Amino acid sequence: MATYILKRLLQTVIVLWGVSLVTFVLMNVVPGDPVLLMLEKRATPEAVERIRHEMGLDRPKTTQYFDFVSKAARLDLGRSYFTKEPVMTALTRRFGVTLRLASSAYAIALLLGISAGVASALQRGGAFDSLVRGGAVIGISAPVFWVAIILQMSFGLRLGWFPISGIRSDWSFVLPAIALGIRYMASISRVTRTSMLEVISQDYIRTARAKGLAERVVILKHALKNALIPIITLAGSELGNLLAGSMLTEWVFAIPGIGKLMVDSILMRDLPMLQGTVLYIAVVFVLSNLTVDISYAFIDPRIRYLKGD
Amino acid sequence: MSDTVRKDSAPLSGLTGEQEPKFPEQVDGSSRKSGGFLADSAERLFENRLVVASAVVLLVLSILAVFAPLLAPYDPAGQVLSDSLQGPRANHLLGTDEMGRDILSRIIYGTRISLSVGIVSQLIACVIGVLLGSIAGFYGGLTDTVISRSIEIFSAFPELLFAIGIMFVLGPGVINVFIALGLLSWTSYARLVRGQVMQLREMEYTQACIVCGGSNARIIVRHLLPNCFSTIIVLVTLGIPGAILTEASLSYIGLGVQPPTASWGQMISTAQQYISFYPFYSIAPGVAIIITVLAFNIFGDGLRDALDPRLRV
Repeated sequence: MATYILKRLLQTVIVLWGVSLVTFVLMNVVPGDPVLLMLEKRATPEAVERIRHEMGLDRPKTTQYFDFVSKAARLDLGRSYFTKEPVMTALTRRFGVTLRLASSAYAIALLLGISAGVASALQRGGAFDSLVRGGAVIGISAPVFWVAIILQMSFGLRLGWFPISGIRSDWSFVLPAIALGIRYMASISRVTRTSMLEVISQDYIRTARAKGLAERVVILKHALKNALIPIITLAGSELGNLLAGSMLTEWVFAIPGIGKLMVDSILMRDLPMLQGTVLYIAVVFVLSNLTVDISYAFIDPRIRYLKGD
Repeated sequence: MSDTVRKDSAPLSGLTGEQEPKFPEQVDGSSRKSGGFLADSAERLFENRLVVASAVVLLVLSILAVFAPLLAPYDPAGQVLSDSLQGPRANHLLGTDEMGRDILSRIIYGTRISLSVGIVSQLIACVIGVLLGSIAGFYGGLTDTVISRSIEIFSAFPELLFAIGIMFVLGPGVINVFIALGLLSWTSYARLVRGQVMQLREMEYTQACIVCGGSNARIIVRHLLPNCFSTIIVLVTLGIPGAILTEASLSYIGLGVQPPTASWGQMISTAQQYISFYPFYSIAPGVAIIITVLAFNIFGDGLRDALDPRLRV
């Protein structure tokens, strides 16, 4: 077990290093001079040169990269070109909003996805099963931003039940969370259904029923518990995607989270902010995958034996 | 990346004899005969009515894309400003947009973008992924380590984020969308092909080839990759809908296909300004995306079940 965790940690360090390299390279091959973007057109060549020197942009790329990595490791991601705010401060402030949106969406997806999946597995071939399966396929085929717009249009504008933009109250999170959650709800219900069907046909479930346990106990305690492993895997690996996927939802609903920050910084060509956001999201993604893998090893002992050698 | 998960879900071996049981010829010749791998798979594929329906939808979409200039009732760029933002009517079945262009015609032209982005990007991803995956799986050792770590690094970025990053660097445009989405999805090809090649490499027929003095390139191309063929076909089919969705997202935030080229994502983006009084404009291109992606998803699932059930998650 310890060897496995150690191996995964080492792997994560290598991946994180690669992520920093890819991010740095991407941001450095962007066409257009960042200094000219920052300054107005009438800046003198001397002023441009001075700023370039102050920002360290006249040094060799390798030096710049090592500087970027060592600063990033100390959580210093530079300052925004426009607001001059440290990137890390902006990220931490907005991460809370994104986290709130993502966790609400996640809760909706898990709760409804698992219940729908279990129910449809129990009534295999029935009307509800077809409904869930059909709904799930449509759910994973619809673009997130379009679902968001449709919800905004119907429940926000037409019916006026929920706010359609900004975050003035808790109600503001309802529509975005549903828009973001639907896709994951769909994939979770599919996996739950498959996994439940597999478990239900096993001998120990027949034994549990034969010894006279209530059907509810058989399903919830005996079947679902074992069916959870693939669901947890999926839910865990989707967590990072959910954080990234909130980008479009935040953009549609004008929610000031990380995703909107990123799209904004693209439109304003705010390189340090963009670089910081990309790095931040990627790191969150990598770490959440690491957590999933390690917790997976705790949940399913077979992994420990297979990988712990 | 979630190493454990991926490895566990990878197929355990290539297409070997035991997966495709050859039926002994029936004596009376009346019942089902084996018509070889392709015929058998096709038969299994089209047993499912849903799959047949999705194949028909895909065929119709392809015809629309190829013959768009003949089938579209209007020029997708033809502006009639006096006719702007009109709801569905007899002469404009899906209404007109803010510049008086026919929405139906723009949606028909949009199939060209969506289908070509889906197919071309997956072919690019497939070439990169199969090449690197087979090299990693065949040679092992340091080569494998370097390629495997690169796969992990490239999949460490959430898809859309990575696509946005590349599009930001390359600038908008259809060709750049092809490249960005290709660079985005090669890892899943590489991962699966690597796994299969590793297993096939240890099989006796491969060892026999090595003993007979077959060159490495020949062994990979002639003997190993054909056995990965079904996996690759399934991955391409199931990769296309994802690419179409990502293209729509990119065009929606303005980093993908640029106006005046008609793209569904970008139509939704424009339509958003008018949702309060003209919701139909937003709905139509979204439905087009759903139908296309749905058809590919269903067809891809069917193809996977028919060709290589072990890819099922």
